[in-house]
Amino acid sequence: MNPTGSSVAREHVLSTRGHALSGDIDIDTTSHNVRSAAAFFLTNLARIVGDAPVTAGDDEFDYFVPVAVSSLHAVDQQIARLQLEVQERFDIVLTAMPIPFAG
Amino acid sequence: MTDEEFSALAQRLEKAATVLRAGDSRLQAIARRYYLAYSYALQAAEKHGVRFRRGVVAADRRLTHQALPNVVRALYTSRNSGPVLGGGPGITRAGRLSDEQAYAYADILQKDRKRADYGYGTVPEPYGVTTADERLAWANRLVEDLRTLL
Repeated sequence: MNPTGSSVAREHVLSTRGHALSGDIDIDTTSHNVRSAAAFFLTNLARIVGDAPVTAGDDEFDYFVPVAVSSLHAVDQQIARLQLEVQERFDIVLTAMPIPFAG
Repeated sequence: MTDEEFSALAQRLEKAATVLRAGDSRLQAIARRYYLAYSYALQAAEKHGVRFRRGVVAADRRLTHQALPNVVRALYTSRNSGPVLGGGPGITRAGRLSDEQAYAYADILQKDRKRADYGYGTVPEPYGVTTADERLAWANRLVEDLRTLL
């Protein structure tokens, strides 16, 4: 997640990853939405991947999560659906990259 | 990109995917086929003037691989998707993917492209033949749909 870290009351909220996507909005509302979106995302990600350790991502993805290759095909599809659901509910883009391992 | 340049690029990518799949380089074949879908989406987005919403930083206004799922969904529906403003007539052909499927397939295929190019993970071939061919078919479906916008 990439919170804006700005305290400006009204501004154009920027970027597409881990940020609200709307234009002029209250920054407190934005921060709350980002936190809510991240909580929703991580809660549901845990339902998909069980107790696999979720870690911070890189400049491409918000989160990494290890996934056995035997589950990868299904998990990829579930995560894609979750990403879209978060975007529709919260107007925020969050992404997770399953990292395949043998198993 | 001119129509001739685009056609040549599409032919190269198609050939590369076919050769790699025939050689059982499954993940690399998926990556090349993904690039084919990406190229069609880019060409359609350019033709129909797809734009990003106000407030999105300039660096993120490029049609990146990361943005592709939303670009594709906006092209399918002609409505806004995430940071992308809808454009063009939408895809109306019978049997097209749903916009949710199109988003999901574009998202998964761009992750496969990054797995192939950047080596995320430790498994060089994470998919068996059936799964690999299913993912190649996803890319084909995207290409068939996006082609109708050109």
